Amino acid sequence: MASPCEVFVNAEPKAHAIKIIELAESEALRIEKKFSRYTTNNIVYRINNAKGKTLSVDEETALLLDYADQCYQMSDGLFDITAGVLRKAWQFDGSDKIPNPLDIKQVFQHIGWQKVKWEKPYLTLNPGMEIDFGGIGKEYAVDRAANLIRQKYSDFTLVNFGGDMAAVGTKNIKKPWEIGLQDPNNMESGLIAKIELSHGAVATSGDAHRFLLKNGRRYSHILNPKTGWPIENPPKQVTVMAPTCIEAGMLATFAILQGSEAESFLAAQDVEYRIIY
Amino acid sequence: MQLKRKFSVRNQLTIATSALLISTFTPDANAALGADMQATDTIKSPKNSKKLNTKIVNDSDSFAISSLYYAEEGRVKVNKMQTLISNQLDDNNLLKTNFIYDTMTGSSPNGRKYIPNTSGLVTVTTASGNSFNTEGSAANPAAATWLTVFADQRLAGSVEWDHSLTSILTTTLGSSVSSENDYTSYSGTGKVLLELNQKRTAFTFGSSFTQDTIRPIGGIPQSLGVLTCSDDASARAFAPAWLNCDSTINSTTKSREKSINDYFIGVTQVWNQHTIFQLNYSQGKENGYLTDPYKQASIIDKEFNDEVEIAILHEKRPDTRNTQSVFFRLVNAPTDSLSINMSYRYFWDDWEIESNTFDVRFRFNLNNHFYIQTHARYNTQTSAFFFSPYIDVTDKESDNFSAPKFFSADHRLGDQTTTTGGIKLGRNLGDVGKVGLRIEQMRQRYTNNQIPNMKAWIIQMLLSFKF
Amino acid sequence: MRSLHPKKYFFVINCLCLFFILLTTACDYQRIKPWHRDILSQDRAQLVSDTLEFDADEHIYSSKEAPKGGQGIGGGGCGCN
Repeated sequence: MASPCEVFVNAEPKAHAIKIIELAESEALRIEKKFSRYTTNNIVYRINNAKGKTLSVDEETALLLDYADQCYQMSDGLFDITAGVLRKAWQFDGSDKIPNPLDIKQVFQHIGWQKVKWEKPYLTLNPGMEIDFGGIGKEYAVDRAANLIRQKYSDFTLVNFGGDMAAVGTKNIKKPWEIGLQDPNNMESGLIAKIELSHGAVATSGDAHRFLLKNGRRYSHILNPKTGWPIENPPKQVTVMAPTCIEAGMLATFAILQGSEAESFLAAQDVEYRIIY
Repeated sequence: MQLKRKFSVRNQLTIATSALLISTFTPDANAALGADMQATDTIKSPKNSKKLNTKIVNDSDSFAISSLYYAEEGRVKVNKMQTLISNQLDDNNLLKTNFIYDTMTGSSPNGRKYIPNTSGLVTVTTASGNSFNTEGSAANPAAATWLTVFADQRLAGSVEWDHSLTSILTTTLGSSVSSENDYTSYSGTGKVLLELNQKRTAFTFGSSFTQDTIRPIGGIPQSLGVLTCSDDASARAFAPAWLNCDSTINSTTKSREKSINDYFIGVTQVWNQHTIFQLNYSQGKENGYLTDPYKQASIIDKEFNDEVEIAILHEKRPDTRNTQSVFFRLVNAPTDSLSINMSYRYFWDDWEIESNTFDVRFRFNLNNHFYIQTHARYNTQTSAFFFSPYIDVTDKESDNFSAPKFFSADHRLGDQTTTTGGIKLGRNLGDVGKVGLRIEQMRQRYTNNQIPNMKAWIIQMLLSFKF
Repeated sequence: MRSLHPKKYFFVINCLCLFFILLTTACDYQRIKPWHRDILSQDRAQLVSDTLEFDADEHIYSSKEAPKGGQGIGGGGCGCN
C-alpha cells in the first residue's frame, strides 16, 4: 500500500488507543504482505509466476478470488483483476507517450478473467497472465481492520488507508468524523466538500494524477480491459459512502468504468456519492 | 456506453461483500487466516505472527460473583452467594461453571387460616413432634400459627458447555445439582442454537429434564390427612363426616420424587442497528409429588363461636402439571446513553393458573464508566382450581362438605400481584470487568387470601472480572 | 452532484424503523449487517445484560409466584419456601 495509512481513535488513555492502532496496523501489514504484487514470496507472486501450473490457494485468497469473480460478472467484465498486465503497454506519467496499438494488442492477449480457470481452491492462469488485488486490497484491509477493532473495542475509531476509510465504535461520539474532499483539478485550492462519517465507510476512486495528454486529449489511467484502451470521459473522482469500504470502493470503481455514464450508474445504486468531473 | 445494464448491482455487491467479510471474520476464520499465512508464506516474521496471535485470543474468560440479600419484612431472609466462571477453552468451546450457596431463615405462610389475634388457637405439633410449627403466643406475635419457621441451606452447582459445531450451529449441554437438607434436585439440559441470515436471526431449541427428591423432616405426610383436630369436642361436632379426627396417620414414606420435562423453542431477531427482539414458547410437564409437604389447610366453620378452626389438614396437589408460556422481549438502544430491555410473559397451566408478567429495565449511561438502571416488574396471577384460603364447612350442603380431591391454601397458588421497583448503580471497569449494586423493593398483594401483604427488600452486589 | 448528509440519513432510517416497529410490520432489517452491530454488541443491549442479576430474579420470583421460566431453559429446582 503505497499510500499513507492513518487510524484516529477517540479514546483514553493513550495506551488503550495505541492498542487499537496497533491492531489496525498489524492487520494492514498482514494484508499488504500477503497480497501485494510488489513483494516476492507471497501468494500473489506465486500465482503470477506459476507459468501455467495449477495452484491450490488458501481460504482467504480463495474468498478474494470469488469476490473478484463476482465483481467481474457484475460489471460485465469491466472490473478485471487480470487487467494489470496492460500497464506493460501504458505508462501513465502525465506525458504524451501513447502506446503503439500493436503493443496493446500484444499484451491484450494476456488479460481477461474469463480465460482464468478458477475452481476453488484451484487456480490456473495461462502463462503471461497476472492477477492484481490492487483494486480490492486496500478497501479489504480497511474493512478487516475496522471489523477487528469493532470486535474488541467500542471506541470511536476512523481507519483511513490512503483515502479509503471506515468509522467504527459508538463510545464518546460527540460529532462524526469530518472528511474533507479536495478538488482533484486544483490540489492547492483546499477542500471543496466535507463528508461527515459516524459509521459506515467512504471510498474514492479517480484518475486525478495519472493520465496521458496527447493532442489535447486526455487518456485516463482507467483502462477498459475489454478493449485495452482507456475508458472515455471518466469522472476525475468518484466518492461513495456505503456500509463497508469494499462496497464503497467497488461502486466507485464500477462508476468510473462507466465513463460518462458514471452518474446515472450511481443514481441507481441507492448510495450517497459525489462525482467530480 | 460499455455497460448497458443501468440497473442496480448494489444488492448483488452487498451479498458478495457479506460473503467475503463474514467468511473471513468468524473466530475460526481468524485462526485459519493465521494458519494459512504461515502455511503459504515462506518468509515468516516471528514478530508478526505473534501479533497475529494476540488478535485471535478471545478475551471472554470471566469470573463473576454476586452476593444477594433478600429480606421479607417479618418473614423469610435469604443470603445468596453465586459465582460464575466462564472459560473460553478454544474458539469453539466455552465452559461455564456456576456455584451457589444459599442460607434461608425465617417464617413463611404455611397455608393455615390467617387469624390476627394469636390467642385461643389450637395447639399444633407435627406428627413427629418436631419444631417446625410454632404456637402463637403473646410473647412471640411474629410466630403466628399461619407461619412456619424454618432454616435451611442450599448448595448448588452447574456446568454448561457451549460447543460451536459450525459457524451457524452451537450446541449446549448442561447439568446441575442442587442440595438442601430436605430437597435434592438433579437436572440435565440440551440446547441447539442455529444462527441464520448473517446471524441476524437465531433459533434456539432446548429441552431439560429435572429429577427432584423431597425428604421432609418427619417424613412425607399423608395428603389431606389430619394434622390435628380441635381439642374442643363441641367444635369437633361440626366436623364433616369425612374428617376422621381419631385416626393418627404415621408417615411411613421418607421421601417422594417429582420430575419435570421442559421444552423450549425461541427465536431472536436483530431488527435494526438498535433493536433486537426475542420470542419464546416453552412447555413444562411435571409429574410426581408436586405437593408441598409443609403446607397445611384449615377446616373452618364460621357459625360456631363466630369462627372455629375445626382441624388442620395436609395439603394435596394433583400429581401432574402441564405448564406453557409465551415470552416476548425487546431490547432497544436508541442512543449511546439509553437502553431499554422490556419483556412480557403470558403463562398458563392445567391447574388453571394464568399469569401476566411485565418487566422493564431502563439503563442510562451517565458517562463512560457509570450507569444507572431502573427496574420495574409487575406480575399478576389467578389461582389454581384447588386453591382456597381454607376449607369452609359452614354450609353443610355445599360442595366443600364432601372431601376435596385436591386442596392447597399455599398463597403462591392463589390470586396475587407482585410489583417490584428498583434501581441499580453500575460501573464499567473497561477491560477489567464491571461492578454493580442494586436495591429493589418487592411487594406482594394477595387478593383472595387474608394473610397480610408482603414487602421484601432485594439488595444485590455484582462483580465481574475478565481474565 | 448530490450532497451527503449521513447524520440525517441515519436519523431518517431510525425514525422509519421505529415507526415500523409500532406498526409491527416489516422494517428493512435485511440491511443490518453484522458490522453494523456496534451498539447491539454492547453489554447494555444484550438480551440478558447481567447473568447473575437474571439468575437471582429467576430464583426469587419462581419461588414466590406460581409461574416460572419462559426466558430460557436450564437450571435446577429448589424446595423453596
